[in-house]
Amino acid sequence: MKKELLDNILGDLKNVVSIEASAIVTRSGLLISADLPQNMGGETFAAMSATILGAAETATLEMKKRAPERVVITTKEERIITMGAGEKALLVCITSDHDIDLVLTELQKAAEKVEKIL
Amino acid sequence: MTQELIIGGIVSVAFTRRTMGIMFTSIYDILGKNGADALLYNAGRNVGRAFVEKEKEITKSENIELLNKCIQIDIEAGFGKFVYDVDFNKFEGEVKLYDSFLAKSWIEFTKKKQEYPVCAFLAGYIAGIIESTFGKKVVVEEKECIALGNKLCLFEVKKDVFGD
Repeated sequence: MKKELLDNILGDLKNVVSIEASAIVTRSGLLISADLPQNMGGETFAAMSATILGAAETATLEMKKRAPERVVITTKEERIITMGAGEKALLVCITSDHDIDLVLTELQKAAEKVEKIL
Repeated sequence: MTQELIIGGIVSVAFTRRTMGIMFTSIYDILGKNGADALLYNAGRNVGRAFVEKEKEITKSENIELLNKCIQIDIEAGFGKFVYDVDFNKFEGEVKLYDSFLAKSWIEFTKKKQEYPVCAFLAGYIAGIIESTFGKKVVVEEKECIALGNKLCLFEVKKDVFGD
């Protein structure tokens, strides 16, 4: 039941902004829900996302700053955005959408929904 | 020529518990608990898978017989003693680990109890062992840990919803 609701969140996200891949992952790097291309390894994607966010959180903590709201990796064509979704999970997506403000707003909304479900 | 260490017929290397403790606590220092758990679970799972595949090749055994051989080598290698109490039809249950080398390494180095379970590598390792032995993906989570002051490390095994 929860899984269906989480799958729907990723589906709804894809309807609003241009998303190539997305996943909901536990903070310790296990896949909960995913909408990934077939050639993408879900396990590794999930573990890398959690590791990147974990490293960013440690970095900000070390600098006596607040926890990061998100980590954005920018390439020439896409952005990989990893965002906390409550204490238990994180949301990650790959997007080539140029309207980054819209993407971030929609991701934030999705993250809040994930937090409520989990 | 240096002398090679052979465990279970395989060339191996040995680290002291203190060295292991330094290596693993360093990873947690940089990546934080969640980041390190993610990295180490994934690494452990890959190690477990590769170990079983090698044992399959060497011993030509499978299923429970193969699992028992892996358990025996883990004891010889000093990983600890794994006791699998898992229903291999439903792929649910728990694994007890006595004398976890990882938890003991942490305690050896830090000289104190930890605030969270520290055997994410071994949780992933168990997941990889079960997956490659029985062909079904599982998720493994550590519930009790020697590093927390428990008598043994206890891992919960559940079927992976992404396993089919």
